[in-house]
Amino acid sequence: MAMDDMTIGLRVRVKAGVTRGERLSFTFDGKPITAFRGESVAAALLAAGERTLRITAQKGAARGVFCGMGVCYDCMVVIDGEPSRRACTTLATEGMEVETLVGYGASR
Amino acid sequence: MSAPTDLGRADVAIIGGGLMGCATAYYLAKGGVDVALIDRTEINREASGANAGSLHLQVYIHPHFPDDWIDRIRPTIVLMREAAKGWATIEAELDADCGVRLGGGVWVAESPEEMALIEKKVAAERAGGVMSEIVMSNELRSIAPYLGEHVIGGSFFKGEGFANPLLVAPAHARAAKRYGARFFTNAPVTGITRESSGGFSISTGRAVFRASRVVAAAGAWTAELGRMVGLRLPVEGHAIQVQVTDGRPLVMLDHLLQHVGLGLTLKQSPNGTFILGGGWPAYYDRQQQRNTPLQNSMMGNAWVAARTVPAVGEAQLVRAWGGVGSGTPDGRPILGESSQVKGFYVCYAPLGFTMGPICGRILAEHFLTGEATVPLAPFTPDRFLEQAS
Repeated sequence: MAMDDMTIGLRVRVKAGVTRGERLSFTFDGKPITAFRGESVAAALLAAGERTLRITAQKGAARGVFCGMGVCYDCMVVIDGEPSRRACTTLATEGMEVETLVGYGASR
Repeated sequence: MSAPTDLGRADVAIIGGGLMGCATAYYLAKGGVDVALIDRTEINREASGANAGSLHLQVYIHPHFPDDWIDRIRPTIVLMREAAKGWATIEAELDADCGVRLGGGVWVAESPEEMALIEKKVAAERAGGVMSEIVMSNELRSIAPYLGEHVIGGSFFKGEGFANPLLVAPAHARAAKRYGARFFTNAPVTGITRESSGGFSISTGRAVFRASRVVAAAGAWTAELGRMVGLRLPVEGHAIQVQVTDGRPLVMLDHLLQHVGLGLTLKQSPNGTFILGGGWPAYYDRQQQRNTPLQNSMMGNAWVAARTVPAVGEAQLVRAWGGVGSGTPDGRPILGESSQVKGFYVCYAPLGFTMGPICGRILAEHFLTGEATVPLAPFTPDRFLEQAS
């Protein structure tokens, strides 16, 4: 497998018989992440091996994608400065700045 | 056709596995009574498990209620006083975590008219032994520093707070089982008939259960059970909703907050989430037999909450769900035995989450000793008899 396949998560993404949207890039805590148009932030982060999307306020415990369908709110992240956005129901877009949600996040 | 399956018999059959029924089962079983509880689905599935957890130990009133509302419900205040004592010791009584937090209860007003209603409420409460207090502007803000600018005053009762609806009824059920109470779930009662021996035969579809006495503990469905034995028990249910936010810094001091004019119950759980309620209407989906939240109610409720406690405006709503509210024409519980159908008891109260444990205890006391800490006469099911004709 080519190095590029690994970095864009093609070991996780299904390859056969899939037509992907345009390739784009966003950042997660400053690191570049590759996504394809139509993918959620959660899908792209999982494909990139990012499992911890937030740190709980009271116990400092790691949380990530749990239900994956918008119900549990465990995958909340900061997107372009706005805290408590669900990674699983937000589509990845070019240049988006995604950050780990630490505690309650900044006040809006 | 084969004969219905015989599920057995008990001295007392309780119909309804909400908090009211589970608490009645617990106190009766603890008193040595042979008791069985029957529920159409599983325990804690309706109002007891889907409410916002508020412990309403001050009189629940709003400006659109009838003018004589406080006079109608006045006998209930003594029951509320006993309920407050009960909630303070319930976790020790059941040896279980019920999520009880009694930081105190705050009612707020934004206008002199709303304040006048709170003053009327406090006077009635104090006369009945619920020692709430009027607190104005600065003093109120020292008790509840999280309040927004629109509040001019209100009342405070230090025994109020909240509990976790997911824990309370199941804790009673577990404790009841320790004393030998039996539970039959997924058994919808379809008929109750009097046997020649004087007892009751309770049909649940293809099965039948026999009991010397029956306790109707069916909350919003009490009227249906009444009809099965020919009694008018005018309990009406309605769909209401609750919503919850993401976790935010703790500001609300384990208080229950209520807004007399705008319809709000608000509290903050130990994990920081705000729980928004206040009887906002939900939609009853007849086909699915489910109460579904309405977006207008979500927005209105959130608006009142953020107006009253600005920190709520920082939070994000994460979930809303439908629950069940219910009431009687005089706003009082229905507790006790019917004189028309001997052996048929009713255990129902509006604000049933708050009143469930005390009603179960009082009914069991009355059942076991013929007397109770609180006089039951104002709550008798017989008071609806003359209106039946």
